Amino acid sequence: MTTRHRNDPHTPDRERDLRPGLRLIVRQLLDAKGDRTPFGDDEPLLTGGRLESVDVIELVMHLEQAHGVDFSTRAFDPDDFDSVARMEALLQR
Amino acid sequence: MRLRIIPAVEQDARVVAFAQRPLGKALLLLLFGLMLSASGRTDAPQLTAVLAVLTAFPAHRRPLLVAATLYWLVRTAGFDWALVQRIAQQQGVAESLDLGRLQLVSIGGALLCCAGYYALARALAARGAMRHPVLSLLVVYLAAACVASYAPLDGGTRTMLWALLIVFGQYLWFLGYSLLDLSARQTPAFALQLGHYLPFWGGSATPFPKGAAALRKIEARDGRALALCQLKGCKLLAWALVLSAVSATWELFAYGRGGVLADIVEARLGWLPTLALPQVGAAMDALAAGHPFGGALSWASLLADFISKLLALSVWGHVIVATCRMAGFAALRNTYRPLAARSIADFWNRYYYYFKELLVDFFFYPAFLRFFRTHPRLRRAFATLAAAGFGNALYHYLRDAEVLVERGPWGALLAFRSYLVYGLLLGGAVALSQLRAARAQAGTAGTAGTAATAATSATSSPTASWRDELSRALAPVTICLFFCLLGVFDDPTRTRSLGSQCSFVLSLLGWNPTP
Repeated sequence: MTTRHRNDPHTPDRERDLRPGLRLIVRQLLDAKGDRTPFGDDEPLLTGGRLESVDVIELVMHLEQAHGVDFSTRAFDPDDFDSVARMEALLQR
Repeated sequence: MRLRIIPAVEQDARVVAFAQRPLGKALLLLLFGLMLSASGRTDAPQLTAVLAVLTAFPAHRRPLLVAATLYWLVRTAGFDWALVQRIAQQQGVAESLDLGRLQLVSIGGALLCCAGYYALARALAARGAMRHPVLSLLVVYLAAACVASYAPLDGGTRTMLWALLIVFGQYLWFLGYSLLDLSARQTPAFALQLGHYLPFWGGSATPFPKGAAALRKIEARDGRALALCQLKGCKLLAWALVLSAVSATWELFAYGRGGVLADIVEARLGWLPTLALPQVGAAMDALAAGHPFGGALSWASLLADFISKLLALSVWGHVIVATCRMAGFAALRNTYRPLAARSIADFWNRYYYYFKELLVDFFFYPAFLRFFRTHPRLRRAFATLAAAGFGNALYHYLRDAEVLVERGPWGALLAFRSYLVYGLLLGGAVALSQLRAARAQAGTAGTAGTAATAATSATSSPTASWRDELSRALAPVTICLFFCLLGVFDDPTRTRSLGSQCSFVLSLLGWNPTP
C-alpha cells in the first residue's frame, strides 16, 4: 500500500492540503489592490470588503484550471469564496 | 500620519467598552438621532425609536426588523401613488377609486405574489421554469406589464393591475435575492426575509445590503460587534453631514441654488458667489435649438453635474448604510472614495456599490459561468457587457414604471435606446479596464511569481516606473472625463433622442455637427 503526500498533485483534492495554493492566489489578488495586510484562512474577504465580487471570477478560473471544478454543473454560491477555508471546503465537497 | 476629519473612535478600546454599556448605547442613539435630524430626515425620532428597540433586544433582531419594516411600509407606503392616480384618471375610474384601499390591496397583493413565487421556486427546486427562477420572474413581470398595457381590460381592472405591478416592481430584485439565496446555507424563513424587503433604513429598488444570506454574514453576533457596528454607523452619518455641507456649498457655488444658505450668504456679502452654470439639459436644448453654449460652458455644466451627482449619491447612500449599521448590520459603504479609483472598473465599483453588486450577482456570474468558458478574455468581456450593459439597461427599464405605463412595454423599449448605448459604452469600458488589469496582474504573476516581487522588479526600470506614475496621476482625470461624457446618455426623463445626445458629445469634443 502506498502513502500519498498531501501535496502530491495526484492526490485527490479532498485529501490534499489545498490552502497554500489558495492563499497564493488570494495574496496576488490583494497585492494587485495594494493591500499588503496579512489575512487568516477564516477571514471573510468578500464580506470584509478586502476582495470584490469581481475578484471571485479570478478564483473561479483558478479552481477550474487547477482543480478541474465545473461550475456550470454545480450550484454556484459566491459565499464559497469568502475565505480560504470556505474555498478549501468547496473543493473537498 | 493620516489626517482624519472623523476620528477613528472604534479603534479606542475604552470607547468600544463604553458603547456596550446602557448609558453608552443611549448616548450613541441620541447622537445618531440628532445627526439624522440634522441630515434633514423628518422621521428621525421614529427611526431612532426603532433603532433603540433593535439595540435593546439584539437576540430578537430579525423578527423586530420585520416588524419595523412593515411598520415603515404602512406608515410611508412610499410607492408612486401619483402615477396610479394618473392611470385611474386616464381610465376614467378616478371618481370611484378608493386610493387608501387600493394601496392596501396592491401592497398586500405584491407581498403575497412574492411569497407565492418564492414558495413555488422552493417547491419545484430547480425543475421546469424554476431551473432559472430569476429569469422566469422577469419574464412573468414583463408579460404582466404587456397584459396591463395591451389587453382589452376595463378601466378598474387595468388600474388595479398597474398598481400591483408598480408596487411589485419595487420588490423585484429583493425577491430576486431571495431566489438566489435558495441555494445558500442557513437561509432564514421567507417571513423573516421580509424584514429587508424595502427595509426601514431606506434605499430604492436596489437592495441595501443585498439579500438574506449577505445580511446574515454581516450581522453583529455579540455586544462588542454591535458596539463597533454602531460606532461606525455614527461615524458614517457624521461623514454624510460633512459631505452634505460640501454638497450645499457646491450647489450654491455652481448653480446659485441653496435656499436658506443662499439667502444667508447673499445677506452677508451683498452678492451671491456663484458661477450660475446651466444644467446639462439646458446646454443640450441650446445646441438642439441651434444656439449652442460655448465649449467651456458646456464642459463646465457637465463637470458640475458630475460633481453634484457624486455628492448627492454619497450622502444618500451613507445615510442608509449608517442606519443599517445602527440596526446591527456591518454593511459596506455604498460609495467609497470614488476619486481614489485607479481604473474605470474600479470607479464603477466604488461609485454605487450595491447596484454594481446587483448586476454582478444577477447578470455577471450567470453569464461568466455559462458562456465562452474556453476563451478567458472573451468570457470576462461578455459577462461584463451582460452586466454593465444589458443588465443595467434592463434594471432601469423595469424600474421606470412611469415610462412603462405611459408608453407601454414596446414604446418604453424604444425610449431606452439611448440608455442601452449608455450601458454598452459603460460595459465596453469596464470590460477593457478589467482586461487591462488582468493582463497586468498575469504579467506580474507570470514574470516574478508574486505581485510583491514584481513590484520590486518594476522599480528597476525607470521608464516603466515614470509611465506608471504618470498613468496613476492622470487616472482620476481620465476616469472623471469618461464618466462625465457617459452621463450625457443617462437621461432620466427618457425623452432625449440618441441623435441629440451624440451631437452634444461631438460638440464637446470640438466638432459641431449642426449646420
